Amino acid sequence: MIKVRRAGPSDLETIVEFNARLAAETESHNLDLAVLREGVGRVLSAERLGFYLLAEYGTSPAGQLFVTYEWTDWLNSDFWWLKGVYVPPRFRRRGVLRALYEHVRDLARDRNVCGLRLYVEEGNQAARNAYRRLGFKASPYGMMGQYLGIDD
Amino acid sequence: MIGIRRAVKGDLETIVEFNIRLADESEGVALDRDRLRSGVANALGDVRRAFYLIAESGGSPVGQLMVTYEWSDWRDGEFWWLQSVYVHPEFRRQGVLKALYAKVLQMATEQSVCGVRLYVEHENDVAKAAYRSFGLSPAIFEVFEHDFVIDRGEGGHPR
Repeated sequence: MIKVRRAGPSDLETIVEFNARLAAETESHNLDLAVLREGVGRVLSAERLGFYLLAEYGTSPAGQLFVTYEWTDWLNSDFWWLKGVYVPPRFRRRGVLRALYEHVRDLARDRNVCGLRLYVEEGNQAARNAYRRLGFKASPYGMMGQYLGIDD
Repeated sequence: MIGIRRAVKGDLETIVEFNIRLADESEGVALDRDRLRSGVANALGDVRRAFYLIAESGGSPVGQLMVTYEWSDWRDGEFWWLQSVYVHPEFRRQGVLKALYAKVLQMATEQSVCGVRLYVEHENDVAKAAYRSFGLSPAIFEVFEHDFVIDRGEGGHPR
């Protein structure tokens, strides 16, 4: 039985662990754990930056999702960005992603959020298919960016 | 001579007008003016939502952009997203966009922002070339969305 709840300060180490694994698995990137811990801690103590949802299977943490906000003046509302989606291998193929998604979708609707967005790596067909099954559509946009002062 | 400054509450109607034109020109969309006005006013009233920069020539507004924020827990810092970039037709090809971008970059660097991001339509080669010339690179990500307000088909039109 999967339950989804909003993360609190006591979930810090779970979220740090999940993000470290997520970065290693998806981008073969070893995150600096001290920087990551600060970055997660700030979210847990300042709601304006975003929030985390945790999925639990029994009492075990079985997945996470990070939400950030994007103001759109055209619609006088926020989009919510779904980021940091991670399900540990032993909990995959059990509907954890769907449970996280349905929870965030319902929260978003309750708060008059105008839509959900996420990025997918261009070559990641499995992720694209998974999000399509949840009702997401490819937007006409790609992203461009410039990193400032850090190597990425 | 182009000057760039932070927008203030008195710029509300200018920003509303620029966004109406932007939506019409770039996407053929007629925005709901009242909803837009509330959206701009709510941003001008709360810097945590967004801020605007206004480009001026001879004391008149000739361009704008909006910045929104994206927290990166991995980097313990924020990205700034460039949104709603608009330059009045009479002032195009005069470096207004470049001046706006330079100001954003200067502010972002001063405030230890970890990067600048924007969306660009896949087929908009003019915009892509302009942003490349400022130092932005295409990211390897595509944007997927589930829009509760405007339902459009796959790859269909905006926002």
